[in-house]
Formats: sequence, C-alpha cells, structure tokens
Amino acid sequence: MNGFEYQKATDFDRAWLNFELDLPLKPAANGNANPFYISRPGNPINELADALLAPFYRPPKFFFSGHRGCGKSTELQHLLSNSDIQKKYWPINFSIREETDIIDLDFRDVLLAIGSRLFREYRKKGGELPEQLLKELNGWKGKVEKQISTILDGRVSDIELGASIDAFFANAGLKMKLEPATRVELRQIVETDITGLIAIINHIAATIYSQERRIPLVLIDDMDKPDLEKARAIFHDRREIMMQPNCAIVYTVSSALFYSKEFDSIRDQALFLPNINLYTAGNEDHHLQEGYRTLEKFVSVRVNSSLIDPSALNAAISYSGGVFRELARIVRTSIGRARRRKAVQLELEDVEWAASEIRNEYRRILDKEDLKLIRKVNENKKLEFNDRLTPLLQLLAILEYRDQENWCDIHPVLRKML
Amino acid sequence: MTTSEAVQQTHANAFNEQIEIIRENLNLAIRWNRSTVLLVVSNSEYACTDAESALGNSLSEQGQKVVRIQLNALSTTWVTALLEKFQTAKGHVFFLRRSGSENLRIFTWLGHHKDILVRGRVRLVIWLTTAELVDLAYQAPDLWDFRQHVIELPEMPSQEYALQEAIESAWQEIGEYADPFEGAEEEIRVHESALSNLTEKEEPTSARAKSLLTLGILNWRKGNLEKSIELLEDAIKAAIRTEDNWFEAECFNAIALVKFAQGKSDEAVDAYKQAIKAAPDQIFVWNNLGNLCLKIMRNDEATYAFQKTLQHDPKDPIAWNGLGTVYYRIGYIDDAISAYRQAIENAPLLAQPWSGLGDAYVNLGRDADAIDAYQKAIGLNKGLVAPWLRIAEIYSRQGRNREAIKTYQHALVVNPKDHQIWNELGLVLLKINSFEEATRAFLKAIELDHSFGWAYSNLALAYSHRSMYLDAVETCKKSLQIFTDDNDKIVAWDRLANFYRAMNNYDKAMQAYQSADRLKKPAASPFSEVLPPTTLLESLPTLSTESLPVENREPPQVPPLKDEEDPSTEGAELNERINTPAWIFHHEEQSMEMSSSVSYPKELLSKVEMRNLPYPQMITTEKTKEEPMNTQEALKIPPTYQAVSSLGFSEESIPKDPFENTEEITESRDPEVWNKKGNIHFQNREYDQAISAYNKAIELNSAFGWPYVNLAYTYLNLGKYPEATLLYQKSASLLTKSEEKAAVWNNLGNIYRHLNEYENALAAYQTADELDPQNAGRRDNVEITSLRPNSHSAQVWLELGNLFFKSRSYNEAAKAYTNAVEIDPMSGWAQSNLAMSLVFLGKYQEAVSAYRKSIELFSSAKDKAVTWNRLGNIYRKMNDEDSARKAYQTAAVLSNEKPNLLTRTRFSLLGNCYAN
Repeated sequence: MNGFEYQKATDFDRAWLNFELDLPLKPAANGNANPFYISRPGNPINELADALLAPFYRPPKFFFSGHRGCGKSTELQHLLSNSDIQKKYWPINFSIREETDIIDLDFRDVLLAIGSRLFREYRKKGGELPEQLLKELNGWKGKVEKQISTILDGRVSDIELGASIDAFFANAGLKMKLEPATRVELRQIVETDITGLIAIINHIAATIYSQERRIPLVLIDDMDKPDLEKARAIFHDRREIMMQPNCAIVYTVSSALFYSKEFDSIRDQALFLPNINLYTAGNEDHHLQEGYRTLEKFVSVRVNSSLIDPSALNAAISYSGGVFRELARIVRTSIGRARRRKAVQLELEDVEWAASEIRNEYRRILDKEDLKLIRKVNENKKLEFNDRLTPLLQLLAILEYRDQENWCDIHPVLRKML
Repeated sequence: MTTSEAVQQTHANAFNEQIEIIRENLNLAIRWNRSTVLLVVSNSEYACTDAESALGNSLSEQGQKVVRIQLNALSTTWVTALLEKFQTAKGHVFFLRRSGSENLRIFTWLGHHKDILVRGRVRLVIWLTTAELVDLAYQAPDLWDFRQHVIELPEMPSQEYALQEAIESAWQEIGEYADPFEGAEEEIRVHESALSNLTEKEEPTSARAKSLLTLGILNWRKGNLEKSIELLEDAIKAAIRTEDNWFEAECFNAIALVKFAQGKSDEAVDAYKQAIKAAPDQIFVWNNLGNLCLKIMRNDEATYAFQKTLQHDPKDPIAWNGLGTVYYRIGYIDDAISAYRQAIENAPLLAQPWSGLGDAYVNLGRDADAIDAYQKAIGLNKGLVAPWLRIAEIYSRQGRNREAIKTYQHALVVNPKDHQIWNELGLVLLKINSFEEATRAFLKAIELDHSFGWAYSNLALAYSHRSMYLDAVETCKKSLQIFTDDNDKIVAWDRLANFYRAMNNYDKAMQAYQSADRLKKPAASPFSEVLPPTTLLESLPTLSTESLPVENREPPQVPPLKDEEDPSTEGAELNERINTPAWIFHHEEQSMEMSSSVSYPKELLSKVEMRNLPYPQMITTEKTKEEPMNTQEALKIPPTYQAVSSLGFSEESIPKDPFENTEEITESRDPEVWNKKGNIHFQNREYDQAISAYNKAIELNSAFGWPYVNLAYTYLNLGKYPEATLLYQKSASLLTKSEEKAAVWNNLGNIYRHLNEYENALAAYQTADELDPQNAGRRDNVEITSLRPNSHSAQVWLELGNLFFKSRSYNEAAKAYTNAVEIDPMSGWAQSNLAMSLVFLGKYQEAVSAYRKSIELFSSAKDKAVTWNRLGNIYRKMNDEDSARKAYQTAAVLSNEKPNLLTRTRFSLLGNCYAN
C-alpha cells in the first residue's frame, strides 16, 4: 500500500508504525501472503475458501461477519493470496467506503459499485473490453449524464471510449460518496432500470470470464458498517437482487445483522470470524496456549522480540481479549510510553499504563447502567438481550467468543474498574 | 513552594505530559507520513486553547501548519471539500473544534469516510467535551475505532491563550503574523456553494447569517473587500431579524476589520462603536478598538479604549499590552515596560507583551535583554514573525551576520512567502559576501512579488558582486521601471552608474549619474535633499564591509569602533536604518528627526569616510559616578575617583563624557591616538572637537594620511566642499594603498558630482577605477570597509571599551576590554571593566570570574574596594544574598570608610533581593 514496507521493527519508532490499527495487509505483488499476516487456530477463512472452491451452478454469494477489530479485512485480503482461489477466480477486493457513502447505503449503490469496480479494476490490470460492451456502457452512461449534469466531468469526447467510461465511473463514485443530491438522482435513474444495471454487471463479468477464463470474485469490505436498518434493507429486503450479479461475491455483514432474525434464511451462506480465545468461559486464569501463541506471533512478525519484555507481551495479549486491533492499540500505546521514558525495552509497566489509559476511556463513556450490565456479563459470561448490549459489543466493552458454544466476557481492561 | 504553587506545578506537569502524548503521536504520524486521529477531551475552553497553542508552536517548529476547523451547521460539506482538496495533507495538521449538536453528524460522517483520512494522510486532532466524547463513542463508532488515543487535559485556570486568540483573531492578518491558513479561496468556494443551497425557507436565518459572516471574513482575508462588506451587511440584517445583538456586534467587529483594510479608518472606528452599542458586554471590542487606534496612530483614543477595558478587568493582559504599545509609541519607555510587565504578570504565556518589551529594551539599547524578551515571545508563539525579524535586526546591527541570517531563516520558516524577509535575508547575505545565496534570496523575493523594486535593485547589486554586470544593468533597469519614488530612483540610477563604471562605460555611467542628480530636488542644505526616505532605508542593502580582504589593509589605520562592519555612528545609524525591516516602523520618524540635523547625500556618506571609523584616543582617567542599578537610581553618591592610570569606572557609573575632565587627559604624542579621538568626537557629532583632534594628529605627523581623510569627511558633513576637496586630494597623496587612494578619489568624484562638475567627477572616478580596478563601480560597498583593530596599546582598547560602554554598546565594549586584557593581562582595570560589560550582557558568572581576577591584580585598596562593590552588585543580581553582603562588607573595610548611604541602602535592600 503506497510503498509501505512490511519490515520487522528493531526500534520503537518503526514498531509504532507497524502497529497501526488498520494497517492493511494486502498480499505481496507476487501474490504471496503479506509478511505481517498470521493465521489463526481453525481459521474460518479456510472454510470460506473451501466453499468458494467447491463446484457451483451459479457463482456463489457469501456473507462474512465478525466483531469489530477481529481481522475481517485482513482475512479477506489474505484470501486474494490463496493460489487455488487465484486459479479459479479473477478476484478483486475493495471497501464500499471508497465507492459510496456508507451512512446512506442503498442496494443500488452497492450494485453500481460492483459494476464500476469490476470495470475499472479490469482495465487497470490491462484488460481489454470488447467494443460492443463499451458501446453498451456508453449508452447507459449517456442516459445517466443526460439526467445528471454534474457527472458530465467524466465525458470527454475526444478520448478513448474505455477511458471515458472509466472516468465516468470514477466521477460517479466520487459524487455518490460525497454529494447526497447527486446520489439521490443517480439512484432514481438506476431504480427505473435496475435490470439494465444488473445486465451491465453481468456483461462485464461475462467478458472478464471469457477473456481470463476465471470467474470474477468480488470481496466487498466494510459492508458491516451501515446501521442495522440499512443492512436489513439491503440484505433482507433486496436479497434477490443482491444475488443477481453473475459473479462470486463475498459481502461483509455486521454481527448485529448476522444474529438478527432476518438473517436466518441466509445464515447457511454466512461465516463468522470470532475473536481469539485466550481462555475458556469462566476460567480466565487458564491461558489457552494456542491463542496466546497466535497473538505472540501477531507481535513477533512486526517487532523484534528484544524490544518487548516477555511479561509485558503476555500482559498485552491478556489485555487485548483476543482482539487483534485491541492488541495493536495496547502495544502501540505502550510503545509511546516506553519511548517517552526513553526505555530500550517495552516493560510491563508500559503495558499497564496503556491498559489504564484504555480503562479511562471506558470510564468516561460508560454510564451506571452499562456498568451494571458489564458486571453481570463478568459474572455469568452470557449474552443476554438488552438494549445496551449492541452498543457495548460495538465498543468492545463486551467481547464475544466461540468454542463449543457462544459465550462472552468483558474487555479485560475493565476488570479493575468493577 | 506554597501549596498553591505545588498544585499549579502538578497541574502544569500533568498538562505537559498530556501535551507530550499528543505531540509524540503527531510527530510519529508526521515522520511516517501516516494518518492519525487523536481525541482530546476537556471541558475547559482555556485548557483546550492552551493545548492548541502549545501544539501549534511545536508543529510550527516542524514546518507543519495547523488548519483549525470550527465545526458548524455547514461543516459536512466544508469538511468534505477541504479534505478532498488535501489530496495529501502533508504539512498540515487539522484541529477540529466543537460547536454544538452538529458535531455528531460530522463525526459520524468522518468515521464513515475514514478512507479519505487514511488516503490523504490526514492528521486530525479533535477537541471534545466529555459529553461529546460519549456521543462520539456511541454514535460515530467508526471514528471511535479509528482513534489513536483519547487524551484528557487537566483543566487549567488560565485565560491567557483565550485572550491571545482574541487579539490574534482580530489583528493577525494585518501584517504581523503569518497567515495560518492559506486556503481562503477554497473556503470561499465551499461556503458559497453551501450558502447557495441554504434558502431562507429551508434553513434557519441564523445559519444563513453565520454563513454570511464566515464568507464575509473569508473574502476579507482574500482581499475581496467590497464583496466582504456586502456580505457582512447582509449578515447584520439577518442578525437584526433574529434579534441577536451579540452576533450583530460580531458582524460590526468584522466590518471594522474590512473598513480598516480599505483604509477607511474612521468608518472602522465607527463600526467598533456600533459593536459596543449593540453588545456593551463584549469588553474585548474595546481592546479591538484600542488596537485599531494604535494602528492608525490615534494614541489618545487607543489609551482610552484600553483603559476602558481595564475598568472592567484591571488585569486584562491585552489591554495592558496595548497600553504598553501606546506608551512605547509616545516615548514613555519606562511606562511601556511597566505596562508590558503587567500584561506578562497577568498572562505569562501571552507572547505579544514579551515582544513589546523587546522593543522597549532595544530602545534603551539593552540588546541582550531585548533578545531575551523576543526569544520568550517566540517560545510562546512560534507563529510570530516580528520577534524573529527584530532579533535579526539586532544581530545585523551588531554585525553578527551569520546569526542574523539564521534568524531570518527562522522567520522564513514561519512565513516563507514574505518577500520582505527574503529581501532582508539577501541583504545580510550580501554583507557576508555570499553573493550567490543573496542572488537566490532576491530572486525569491521577486518571485513572490514582481512589483518589489528593491528586490530588483538589490539583485542587481548581487549580480555586480559576481561581476555579472550585464545582468546587473538589466535588473537595475527593471527596478527603475518599477520605482515611482524619486528617491528610490536616485539610488537605482547611482547603482546603474556604478555598474557602467565597472564595465568601463563612462559615458553611460555619467549619464546615469546625471539622471540621478536631476532627480535630486533643490533644498536648503545640499546634503539633506537626498536623505533616503524610510522605504529606501528599509530596503537598501547594508553595504558590505568585507569586500576587500583584511590583509590588504595596512596597519596601523583606524580600527573599528564596534567591529569591522560598523563604521561610524552615522554610518551605523544609517546602516541600522537601512537594515530596519519595513514592518518595524515604530521609531522611523523618530530616527529621521534625530538624523535630520546631520544629513548628507547617501552617495557621499557611503564612501571612504565611513571606513575611517572613530577611535577613542583619550588617555585619561575616568571620573566615575555611582549609578545604582534598578531601584537605587536615586541614591547617588559622590563620584569615585580612580587612579589616573586606572581608566576604570564603576559599573554603576556610566561616564557622562570621557573628555569632561580635560585636566586629566594625558597629552598623547601619538597621531593615531588623536585620529581615533577625532573619530570619537565625530561619532558624537562634536565636529569642532573632531576637527581639533584631527588637526592635532596632522600636527604630530603631517605625513599621516588618515586624519586628512577624516577631516575631509568632517568638513563634508559641515557642507564645506572646497575644504573637503582639498583635504581629500592631500590625503590621496599621502595614503599608500591603491585601494585607499581609490576610495578617496571616488569620494572626490562624488563631491564633484554634487557640485555638477561632471568632467572632474569623471576624471576622479576614472582615477579611482584605475587605482583599484577590481572594485570599479563597487565602491559603495567596499569603501566603507573598516580595518581590523590592530592597536597594540591596551590603553587604547581600554578607552575604546569605555566609550562603547558609554554608548551602551556592551558587546563591543566587552570585545574591546577583552583585547585590552589580552594585550595587558596584568591590567586590573581591563579585567574589572570587562567584568562590568559582561554584567550588562547578563553574563554574571563570567563577570564574577573577571572581577575576582581584577581584585587579584589591583594593588590599591581603593581599586579593590571599587571592584568588591561591583562584585556585590552582581551577587545581588544573582540573588546571592550572602556573597553580596560579604562583598560589600569587604569593600567597606578596604575603602576604610564608614558605610555610606548607598552601602547601607544596599545592605538593607539585600533583604529584598529581586533579580530582574
């Protein structure tokens, strides 16, 4: 990503960089896995890969869920480096954020984004689209431009047709993302001819398949970010349409949607990426070595082990609750403290300080009712429906785990607060 | 430490720790060019403002610009456009400030569009209250996830930065501060777009009014003044409809700024009065009015306005600062210092009063204190340009050119687009013969402002130094096309003539000289007519004094007064004024007045005379007087006489006149000494005494050329051209070095020109150029070269030091005394006086050491007593009560006198030590 060098850190400054919270772990240019990527015990992504590699009649659609910070984006990107997937599929991965406004996400936006990205990515990778398809797309583009003058920027008469459509899609995406008025107009146009849009997507997908002999696979990240209502409207109310594109698609969905009643009918096509188990329910003193080893590896691929005292590393892992992003946050915050005190090694006291900082953040945002619920969860390790449950899961104040059955616990830094 | 102090210290430590966390995160994000979002939580506006300011300074040091975004109803669109504009936010850190319920929507939006933040490498600091933090965590979960750190600021009970912001927000655009955000055009576009979507039916009038006010201010910043007024008047109408008096007053405040920018000062004052009428509770408007009155030189009204503020709040630091400026302006320097100190006491972190204090110290000749004050101002607000420039000016004046250059470079970090600073930098670079760098600096000044004539003119000078005469001629011609003022043109024509001379094109040179001379208006005094105007003085380069290598100069000529680059009092004054940047306008008129009695054409002044720098010649015993420091000023005691040979005087006694006790002057038989003595008198504008001294030198050695030169120059200053001409001719026959002869001939040429005797002028110039072809046409820059001091007489150096000390040039005094010490390490008075000058430079420890050495060297108990007294004074300054008491007691014992009033007073004051 823009020349980021995935180098193991030998000093705190570089280590600070390597623990960036949302550091994207795209596969290397040669298709190999990212050097910072680590697999996890019983990785569910393998299940998804298997499902994608299985024979199908129509290109499959899958749903990929998980709590915030558990590594969904990383796993999706890692899927791109799977050689079997590469053989069978022509895969692309993008965040829906890049294409539209996820606050106001609509099924039409998603479809437009799929078509747009397929077209642009294929051209970007040097793919040639037949004249017939370009003319078809140009006709559709002309129809849109006729009604929405603000996207006219993309129409340049004296340049090559493909580039013109490329520019149109890019510009439309930008407008969709940032200009509510244009978004509404564009949706109205798409609404009147939704089958036309699906046909265009399918035409592009078919063209790619015919030329690459691989089925387009679209991995859409950040689809779990819109609120539950919007997600329902897309994946429940417009489920049939969302299954129409003639390419394989993996949609990310929120855990809230995953657990909703409306999702029952498609749950068999869904996969949940859990947090890493560091202990079993109710027995937090009994560390699960597999989980600890996984998170140790998460740290050790990024930073030289001489920079972290083992006890500090152990504490950081414990405080992370098995959530990758939380571990990155704790280590990064601890590094900051170690730097300030000009230490040569990250010590336990640095990790304790970082944990206390995070605890203070929760102290500021949790109210009495939240604390009551947290205490309850701390005692019985069970998820019980409560209005406050969703926001507390979202804030990672409560973390969900899976082994034989689902159970939950509070964020480890909160224990000292109770 | 009291409990209160301890609490404050704890507060400060906690605050600083939190700032350090923010700073560290930002620094690392900047280092790695990564995005980061920091949430800073505080319920105290003051704490946030303090933190913003501290961070702003730190970021500014790293060349980062802080872009402050105040969120309001329009901000989603605004933020979108802004962030999109910053395809890469490199060099910028965004501070987002809260402003009500709209925050949430924007935070949610930002979280959802965090890809823009990541892609653009946006570094964002969001300032929140605790309640807002809670809302953000729940309602903007994406942004919450993306946060790097939540930093809670301890609440600090200080108001200085809020006030600082107030003063800056009102006046920062008027020349003294770097523009904190250059995206005004983009902002305008975005706001206009947003405003066009806001029909009155759809949106509350208040939102529209706010938008109009914002647009009005942005247009003002952009210089679209008419448009600005139009928008602000619409905003006022909207404010009236909503009956929002407070907002109406804000609009009038803005109108005042625009009117001022339009040059309609009266209307600006009226606008402030309207603001006061609309919202009498807005006390800060009085300060704004005061500041405006200051700018338009209405000092009485400014005083009234600031006093009005002080009636409401006797501790208001802005008002005290303003009053300090008024007092300074009208010459009440002590009152100014007192007012600035009040401002500092009430707001120790406010930068402006420190800057004002620096100005006041400069006025008193206390350069070291001034530099300290300016540095404090800079430490508190890295965005201030003026203190940098003033420090640079001091360095430049003191001949500390390298330091001046560094300081200008610092100023350019703050404001890299100021063509004046580039020009000033170029001028100092010229001084140190860095002609290529000077060329680059002037080119940069031109790039920034194509209509800046002086940059062209100075660039031409730089070219000429590089022997690029064709370029110099062309560039000089460009400056002539730009200049509209005759005085500017005169200088340019003169320069052009010099360039032609250097090219041996005497016809064109004389034509250019004639063009210059035609522009010189007739005046009562032939020398006053071409006194360069302020603008010229501000822009002219300081003439280089290093063009000729020192080794080419023959000793023992006239050593410098201050150093090799500070030729004479007049020269220094001229140089100082030449070097005074345009933005330092405070005592231009004053200095013009001061110099009006001795005015002369620049082309004459800048010639050979200036090389003959005055030197103290006296061999005398100083009659010293006790001049108590600080509070003891009134406690005068009879002067302490020192041994005839001692030459020392108390640090508390700045001698009024080194020559006043003529009976004590030992008649020197050394013509060099008399020549130097003449220079001292010349410096002091005591021309008759100077003439006597030079004549004495000639009497003692009629073959000594320099007294003739100096005498000629003195006559020139008195308008006696025939005498000057004859003396120059005589000196030319006596001087031995061809460069020196050339300089004299050049000066003769100047006199002939002045007398419209162009043929003689041509001949004189040609003679000069033949004698010194390397510097043909460049003598403006080379002939003022002074020689390095080479006197081997400790006595001369000691006297010279005394004279520098008398003129409050403590650095130079210290240098002279150091030379005296080097030549005669056994001179107790050399050590003692060196110590005294070090005291005035604030170098107390070094001074103590020198005093102790001098005590060892003195044999006379009386001399020792004087020095023990001085030592006591330093210890007192250092708040070392015990040592001070012992020193005074020793002095009292050695002097074998009963403790006098001063001594007793000193002892009593020791219980009340106060280090300034």
